[in-house]
Amino acid sequence: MDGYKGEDKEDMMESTENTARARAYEILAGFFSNEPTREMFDFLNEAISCSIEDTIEGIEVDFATMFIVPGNGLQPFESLYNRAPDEEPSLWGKATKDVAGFYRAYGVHIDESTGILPDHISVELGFMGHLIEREDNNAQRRFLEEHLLKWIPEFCDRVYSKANTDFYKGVSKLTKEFILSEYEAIKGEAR
Amino acid sequence: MAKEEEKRKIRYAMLVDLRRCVGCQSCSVACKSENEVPLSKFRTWVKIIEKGRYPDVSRQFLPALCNNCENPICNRNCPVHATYIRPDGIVMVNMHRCIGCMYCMASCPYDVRYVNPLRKIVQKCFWCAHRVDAGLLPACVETCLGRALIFGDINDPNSEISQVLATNAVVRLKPELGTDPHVFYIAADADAMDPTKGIDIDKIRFMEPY
Amino acid sequence: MKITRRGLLKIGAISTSAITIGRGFNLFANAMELLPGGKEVSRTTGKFLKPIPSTCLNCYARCGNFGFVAYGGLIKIGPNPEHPNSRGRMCAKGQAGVNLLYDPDRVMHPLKRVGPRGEGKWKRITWEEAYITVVQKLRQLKAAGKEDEFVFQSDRDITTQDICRRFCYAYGTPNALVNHSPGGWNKRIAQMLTWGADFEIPDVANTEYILIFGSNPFEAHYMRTSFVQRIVEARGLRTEARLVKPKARLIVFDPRLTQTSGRADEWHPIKPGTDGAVALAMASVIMNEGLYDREFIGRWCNYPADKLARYLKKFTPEWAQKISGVPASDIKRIAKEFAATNPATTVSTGGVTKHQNSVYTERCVALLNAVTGNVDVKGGYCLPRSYEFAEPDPIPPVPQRRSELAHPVDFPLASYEVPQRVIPMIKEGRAKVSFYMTYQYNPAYSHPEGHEISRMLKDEDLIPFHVVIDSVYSETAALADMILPAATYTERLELESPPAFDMIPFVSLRQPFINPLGESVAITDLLIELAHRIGGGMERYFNFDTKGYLEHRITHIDGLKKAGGLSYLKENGLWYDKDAQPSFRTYEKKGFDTPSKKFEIYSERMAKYGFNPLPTYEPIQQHLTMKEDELFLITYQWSVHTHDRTANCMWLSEIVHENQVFINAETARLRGIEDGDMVEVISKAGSIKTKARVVQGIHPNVVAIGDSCGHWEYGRIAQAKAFESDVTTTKLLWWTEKGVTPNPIISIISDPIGGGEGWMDTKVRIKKI
Repeated sequence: MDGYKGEDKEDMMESTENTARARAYEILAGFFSNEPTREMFDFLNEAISCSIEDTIEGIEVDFATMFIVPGNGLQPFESLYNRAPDEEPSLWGKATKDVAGFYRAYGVHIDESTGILPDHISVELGFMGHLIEREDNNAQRRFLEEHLLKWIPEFCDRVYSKANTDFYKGVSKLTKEFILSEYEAIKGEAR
Repeated sequence: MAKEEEKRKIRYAMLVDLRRCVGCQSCSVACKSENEVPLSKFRTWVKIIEKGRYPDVSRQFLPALCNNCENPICNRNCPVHATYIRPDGIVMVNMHRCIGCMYCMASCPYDVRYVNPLRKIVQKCFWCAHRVDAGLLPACVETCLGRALIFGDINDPNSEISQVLATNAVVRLKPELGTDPHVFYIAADADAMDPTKGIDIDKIRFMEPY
Repeated sequence: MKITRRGLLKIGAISTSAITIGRGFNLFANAMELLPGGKEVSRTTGKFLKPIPSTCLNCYARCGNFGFVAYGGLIKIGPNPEHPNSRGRMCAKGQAGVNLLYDPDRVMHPLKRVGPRGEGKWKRITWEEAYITVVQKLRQLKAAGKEDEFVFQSDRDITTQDICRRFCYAYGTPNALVNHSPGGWNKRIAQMLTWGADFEIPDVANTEYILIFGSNPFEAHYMRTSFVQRIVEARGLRTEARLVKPKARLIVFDPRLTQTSGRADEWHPIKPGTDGAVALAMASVIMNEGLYDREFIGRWCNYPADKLARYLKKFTPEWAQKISGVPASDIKRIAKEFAATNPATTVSTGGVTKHQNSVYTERCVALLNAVTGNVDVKGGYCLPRSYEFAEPDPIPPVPQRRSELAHPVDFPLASYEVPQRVIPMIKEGRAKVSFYMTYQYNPAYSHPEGHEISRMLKDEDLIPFHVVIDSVYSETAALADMILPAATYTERLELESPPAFDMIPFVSLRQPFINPLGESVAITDLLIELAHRIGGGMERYFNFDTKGYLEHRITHIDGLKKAGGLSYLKENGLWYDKDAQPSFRTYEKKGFDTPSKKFEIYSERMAKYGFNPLPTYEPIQQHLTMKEDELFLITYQWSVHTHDRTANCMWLSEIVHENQVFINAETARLRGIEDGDMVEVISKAGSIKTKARVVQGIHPNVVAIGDSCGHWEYGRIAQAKAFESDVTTTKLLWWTEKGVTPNPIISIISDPIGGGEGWMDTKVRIKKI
């Protein structure tokens, strides 16, 4: 595995395709890390002239109901989904440890004081963005195969069926499709 | 070679003193925690029965776990030789060899083996061999509230287990099968040992037998 | 909303990091920190487990534990062999603390209600917003001079009640309702009135006779793990080959066959609530046959022996037999044995304290120890030994305003609030509440008439603003206006000094195994922060952080200070004076902590309020009007659960998740009920449906339903909901029955002296459905 080389950073950034991908991951991460802000709305509307008909309040409640309020079964943590049949439903499961090990192996670690678990969907998506910036194709592929693909499509399907707002129906669909298309793209590259 | 010889002398065994058992299930949960035993499966559990007629009633307990027999049946019909016996007497399942055919489960007279639902391999109590090798007691023994569980080397006359065995009457489960089980019970209740008798209070039920 | 991959990449291409996408994006960006040179670490091997000594709190026993940490996660909780009380043993509940921490249904973010109360619609808010809302409301109340309309209530939690009380007093409200739990308070009041300590420690390790009234230490006791291991030892069941010790006898009075009574030398199925009569009759035998301890009564009791003997004369064993159903011959024999065996001790908990005549009963039981001279002797009925923690100066004064909630006028001796009456009292208009804050408190589920309580909690006129601080989405949290995520005991820093069984007091520390998950905050940190934000002079009482607070609390313990104070505790988990020897008859120095400095067989304080000053038996009112087909309903605690805080621990709920009603085989036969039949249990307050469990080991006039099960919130494990049923993994949560709680059919009935709930005084009828 190549280490992170600071001097190559400039070259990386020149690759617009990759920058766009990395940003895309970060945007998706943002969708799941928090409720959208007004700026984000406006930005989205402007950027791709999509029309969001939901109210901010509606989206906020939808977000909390799905991802925050206990008992709804959509907590966005990998270890609750990518779970062996013999593994108990619990936070900080095997997948959490695996993904934490992955981050460590690539020299990234999570500030523990944030209280965020390493297998939260937005941390994983953000980490993928990081791997893209490093142009580490091998790692990207492994991370996709071992983690993102293992649970995000299924998770997104559930969000899609549970969401009350078009916003999250859209977000979940987009995320799933994006992850799947990424895999196709990376597989193609590798060949 | 000499080292191997030395090791052979150790024979681990478990002693359950039912005069000291309080039926608290600490062992069951400690085992789950230590060995990541999935929900619906137990490597050790305490059977609790009620016996007698009102008002002459009592509760009887029977912690059940793998007997790590000296002469087990389970290893004989394993087609891939996944079950093997360590020199210190612990019966192990090699998870890389096991193909989950369940022949061993069918032959185990104590019903202590189960199939791990994911890996489709058979698992069972192995007296926390990983802890024993590191110089620790099995998790259930460590935590037992009444110190009802005693674990040790019966070939060492100075060990606690040898001394207690020497001074108390013990029984074993189904010794007539000739498996030479190495879990010994002091003051075990005959009804608790018989699956058809007594009212089962705890009813730790299993999702599916296999 | 429609965006495609292409669209997304387009956005990605034109966006810059300057655009903030979502609030938490920053959090995430900060969360990542690059380390120089990537290193490969093995994800499957090379586990390094770091043990952190701490103190359990999955029940009140507070045993010593170790948390084993790897990769920043808690892998396992195990026992601490150095702990003087628990001595390296840990019950199922303690082991399952991991489940509590990593409960997938934990509350991890502050939440604000949107929509009607109880509808279950929430919005996440920031801590900042939460603090601002709470502070604003509290400031408004303060400005209006209505500090007492802020009511804080929590379960009795020894560790946090001091800081909570400090917060309330500093703010200016007397309503710090943090002293009671709805079960068990009567006993404490009786003990305080009798000998000035609120709890006895039976020195069972050294005793020769254990007389149990309504207690089941093998399954449930305040100090269970420490207690049960010593009972087992005292029973002479030592397996160590050469150790010979007389076997302590174990006699149990209990309507129900339990793990304890089922293993005792004698089990006497007694009619519920009549233990007092039996204890009185025993005392009568001891006094009138001259078997009593002349010296102890003469010197240390405040009632002369001859007068006591005369008073007790009318409580004959035959009289007690009529009331309790226990044969007079047995009462006589046990009384004589108890008096003749030295040392001996009684044990009494739930079965005594959960009745409306509890204070009298408990005093009768305590009397047995006094007349036989077993008080605070080796192997006897001992005073608790623990350290008191200091409060840092300045100490906020107790607000002088009179509060009906904190000191209800109809319970003059209850010394503090009567928890099960708090919400009903608000309903009755005896107190006005504008801001109700609760911490780890779940009355909607755990209180008698819980469904009524739920209705009151839902009423916004009654309780205009309700903030719940908890780590679980409890039945009460579901009815709140705001939920603040609390750290569990595995993430908090706290001091403990539970009573020592080896009679040498010790201090133990609870420290975080890991940082609080999500946005959870430990209660102490939360209250300190709130105090500073509210200000107005309040902050000067909180001139410390949690660590500083704890350091203050132990400065007066010289030995600990010398050893290194808090850093010693962090290293070792606990401290005690290694040179100290257990001492007994400690009352000889300063007397008992009562007005007369004596063991008060006669209580002046009780006389003052018109109660019988002498130990007596008061029949339970409901018993007097029993109809032919009526039965007593008693509740009990399962060995693997606490009353209401363990249901979402999967390893525990896997073992016990159903609440069947236990019924005697003969009683069931008369009603045509067979084992496993669905039955309806009907009381004045309501009815519940559950399965019948037909057994031999229960009094024929009694049915028993355990608490702990039957949640309707509290997360999916507590509700036996398999996780997302379309996945193969769901079948792992294999049980489908979540049980039923008996609380809704139990009426709120309080002991007029102690104020504690009469949990076991409900009459029921039972019929097959």
